This record gives sequence, C-alpha cells and structure tokens, in this order.
Amino acid sequence: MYLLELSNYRIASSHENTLQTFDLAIAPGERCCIQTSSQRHAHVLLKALATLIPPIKGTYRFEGQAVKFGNYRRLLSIKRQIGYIGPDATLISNRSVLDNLLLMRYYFENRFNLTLDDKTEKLCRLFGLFDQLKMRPAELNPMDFNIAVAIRELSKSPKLLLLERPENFIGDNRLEVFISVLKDHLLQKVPIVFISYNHNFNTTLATNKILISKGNLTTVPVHKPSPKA
Amino acid sequence: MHQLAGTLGRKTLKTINHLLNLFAFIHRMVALLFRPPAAGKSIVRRITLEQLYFTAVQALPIIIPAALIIGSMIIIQFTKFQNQYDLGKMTVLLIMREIGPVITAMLVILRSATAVTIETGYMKVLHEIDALEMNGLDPLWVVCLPRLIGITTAILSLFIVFDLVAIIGGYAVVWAITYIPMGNFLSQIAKAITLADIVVGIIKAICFGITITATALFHGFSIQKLITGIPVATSRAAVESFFFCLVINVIISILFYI
Repeated sequence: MYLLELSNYRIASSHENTLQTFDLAIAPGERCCIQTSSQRHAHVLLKALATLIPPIKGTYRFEGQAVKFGNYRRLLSIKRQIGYIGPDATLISNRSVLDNLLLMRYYFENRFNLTLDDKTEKLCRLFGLFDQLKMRPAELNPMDFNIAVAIRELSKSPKLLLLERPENFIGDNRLEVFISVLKDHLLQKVPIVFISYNHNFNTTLATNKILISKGNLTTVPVHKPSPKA
Repeated sequence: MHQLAGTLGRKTLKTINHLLNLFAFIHRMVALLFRPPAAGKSIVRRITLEQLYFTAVQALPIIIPAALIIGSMIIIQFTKFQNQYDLGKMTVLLIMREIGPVITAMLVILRSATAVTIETGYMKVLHEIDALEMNGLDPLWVVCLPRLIGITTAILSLFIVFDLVAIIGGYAVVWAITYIPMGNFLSQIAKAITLADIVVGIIKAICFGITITATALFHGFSIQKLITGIPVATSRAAVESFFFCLVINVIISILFYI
C-alpha cells in the first residue's frame, strides 16, 4: 500500500509555467529525488505534498484515506505526520527554541512541565544546539535557526519527510551528520521526497527520481552502479 | 450615471461580503468556546493570561491618568454648567454610559488591537501559522481564541477601572485643587447608578471585545505574502474596529435607554 497517493492532481498557480496535472504515489521507505530545471516547480510540489497548497482538482490520499482540503481542521492530523524541512519552514518567533521543540507535546499532552525526550536531546547535542535552547529564534544565527526547524520536524517522528535544498538549509558542513540522521529515519521506513543539488546527498539517498520537465511530472527509478566484484 | 451606480454597487457588495466574512470568523471563534478541543487547553490558558496581562495590567499606567484627566474635566465643566444640580447623575450618564466605554475601547484599539494585527500579520507572512499547522496546532484555537477571551476580559476590567478613577479620582482632583463646591456629589452618583448601567457596561464590554479582537485578527490573517501589507492592514483594522465600536455603542444606548 502506498503512504501517499496523488491522482489527477492539479495545483492552482498564477504563473504561466505551472505544474501540469499529475499522478504520484509514494510507498513507505521510498526515497524520491526531484530533478527539474525550475526550482519553483520543486518548491510547489513539496508544499503541495505537505498539504500547504490546496489542489484545484484531484485526490490526495494519505494512508489510503482521501483528504478533504475544505476543512482545515481535518488537515491538521495529516500535517503533523509530515516533516517539512524547507525555506518556508520556520519557528514561532515569540517562544524560545526549547518551547518550539516542545510545542507539539505541550499541545497534545496538555501540560508545560516537560523536558526534551532522548531522541530530540540527542539531535540537539549532535547539531550543537543544546546550549542555545533558551534563546529566542531571532537570537540564533541563520544556520542554527534552520537546524532547530529540522530538529523540530524530525522529532515529530514523521511518516513522510520533505526536504528542500538541505545543503542550503542546514549547511554543507553538517550535511554528513544530517544524512546519517536521515538514514536512521530510513531504517524506520520513512519515505523521503527531496530536491538537492548536492551530488553526495542525491547518490546516497535517492532510489527514485521525480522528473519535472516543462511542468510535466514523471517518476523513474534510479540506476545505481552495481558494486565491483 | 451607470458608472456611478456600478461603483456604488460594487462597494456595497464588497462591504457586505467583508461584514459576512467577519461574522463567519466571529462565529468560528465563539463556537470554539462551546465545543473546545481536548488538546491544547494549557497553551490556550497561558496565552489568554499573557494577553490579559498585556491588554489590562500594562494598560493601567495609561488608562488611569487618562480617566483622571477626563473625569476631572467633565466634573469641572458640569459644576459650572449645572450649578451642582444633578451633577452626580450627569456624570454617571456621560462617563459610565458613553465616554468611559468609548475611550477605553479607543485605548485598547491603540495598544492591543494594532499589536494583534501586526503580530498575526507577521505570523502569516513569515509562515509561522503554517508552522503551527504543520505541528498539528489549530491556529484558531491557540492564536485567536486566547486573544478574544483576553481582550474581552481586559476591556470589561478596564471599563470598571476607568469609571471608578474618572468619577472618584476626578472628584478627588477637583476637590483637592479647586474651590468649586460640589455638594453631596458621591451620594448623588450612588443614587444615579442603576442596574441597567451595570448590565449595559457588561454588554458593551463583551461586544467591543469581540468586535475589536475579531477585526484585528481578521485583518492580520488577511495579509497574504507582502510584509508591506502589515501597516496597511493595521491601520484598516484600527479605524474599522473603532468605527464598529461607535456604531455598537449607539445601538446599545438606543436599545437600553430610549
């Protein structure tokens, strides 16, 4: 069964060069790399997968269930299962970094006397964010800000992970660490859809390619060179 | 002539559409009060208290001097004009029923409604609302409702503070710095206040609170992408909510006092 299925899907856009109607299915554990000459197409596709852009026609199925975009409240339960790490992902500016990382738990556990769980704390230490947890997001440098966003999204334990230019978002120096963290997620069969211009990132992770040419979307498997005997 | 009719028609439809959207927004927020989601109650409680502190407690250094100045001004003028006859009743009529609610609403709009529009506008433009939704948080529940409760409660509290300071403080100021004879002013006031004045005060506070908060939030959420839309929306929200408050004030006064 597919985790995500978009059929006969079309996204509203004011641009002339827009994504054409497409079908896309993503299975658990799949790692799709988007290849396109227009980064806007990739950005729009990732936001559409994150349910941040509603369709003008077509069906969005998550775990087999058709999602209705008319009621934003019903979308919330889908959105919290999707990790979106991209330029539009941000932190809540009037809360501390720690509050941002705990926000979802504050909300769903209905209490404030919470501490970071082991996984999130480990990620904070791994990316050097642990000493800055009491700061406000505006006090962080841009890369640490992005790291905080990435940690928040990863600590959600998402069922689908969407990444837009992680090398720009997280920085080249921490990309290797990030890839190792993603591999941990892959072990849990979390599918990943991403666009990256980093060769290492693409070759390490991609199993499928989503090609977008002149607004038309096709999916092809990646041919990996077989190991030498 | 046709062009004028067309322009007027479009403007009227646009205004009606805007009012209906505003009512729909208010309905969605108020409905949450009766069917609150199970999750997020602690966050809502915390943000409500923060809003109450900002709108009511931090406004006291502005509202108290304003009430003292306005109260003493009115009392001085009435002692001259009325020659002490029914001075207490006139003060109640003017301060408690009309000037108090309007001045309080104006100060809340200047301090809090503008802040709410700017804050929500920034949250919208900088994708913070999207970030809340991506974490499964309902923005209407965690952003809008706490502000609605906080501002409405704050307005009710500030009405009481304004009326007390304007009447008692105004009396004290006039007594302390002038030689104007005021007779049994305080007992006249006590006699002049009716149950209707208290009920009307509460109704006005609730209506003003809902109107001011909904208008401020609605304009904040209406901003689409441009950060330059924030000052425009803020100015519109402030002017619109003050105008709505004046209209509501007149309607309630007509309903209860005529």
